[in-house]
Amino acid sequence: MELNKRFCVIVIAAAAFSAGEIDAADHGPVFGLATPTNPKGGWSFDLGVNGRSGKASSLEAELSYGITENLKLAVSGPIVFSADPFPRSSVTANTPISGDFSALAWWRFKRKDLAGKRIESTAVGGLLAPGPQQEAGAFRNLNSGLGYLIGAVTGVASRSQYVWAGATYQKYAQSSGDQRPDLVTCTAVYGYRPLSWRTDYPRWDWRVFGD
Amino acid sequence: MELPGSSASQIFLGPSLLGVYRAIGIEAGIQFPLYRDTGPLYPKEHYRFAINFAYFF
Repeated sequence: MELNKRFCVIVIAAAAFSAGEIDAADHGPVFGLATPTNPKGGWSFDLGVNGRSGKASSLEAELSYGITENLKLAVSGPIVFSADPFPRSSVTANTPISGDFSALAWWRFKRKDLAGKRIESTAVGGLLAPGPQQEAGAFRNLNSGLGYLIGAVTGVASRSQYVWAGATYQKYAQSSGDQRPDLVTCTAVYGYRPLSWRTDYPRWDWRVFGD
Repeated sequence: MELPGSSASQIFLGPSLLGVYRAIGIEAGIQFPLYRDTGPLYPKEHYRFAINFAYFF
């Protein structure tokens, strides 16, 4: 166990100190949709845990790549620890419903740089594939075909404040006479980065969001 | 045929925090329901949380 802890510390420290020019400053909020994409040729890896009322939790991994600075491809996959009996919902809007695999394209089709801030709009679309885990609650034993997701988000980002609003729509094909319900997700995010929190490496840089 | 009582609408609100250290981003947040119209088929969801680790390379 002690060896594992040491290994984790070494890996995280090595990752922090070996990183190139790419940094995580443009990462969006954990719950809501946001406009940032990866830089051209830039990869990012996200690993997250989410849960609902302590009854359901899953691990989500997402790998993203910037084809251009305005076009990002992202694939995500889940490990569901506990099936979810609640209404179908996307806890983290960046990755679709827990339990689904996804392959999404994020296209930042509008970017206007102004003094000290930028206005951006990003469209997202792609395919969803239900994972192997059986659902719980009202959707137990429900079959599902492949699905798709479309959506868009727009907003303003400055050095101190962020505002984004977006929505996605998910629809699934029939399978063996069953069909999952459609899902509409709307998100609104306000972010604030106080002056005292605006620090550069080697200090942490913090911001707080209301999602 | 639609499953009766399966439609649901919810609104959640809550804070989250993002910390950036060069290529690493760490996020955590919790949300609570502001509005809930979920019908009889579902248990009530009292909160939801998310924790995320991001690495850019």
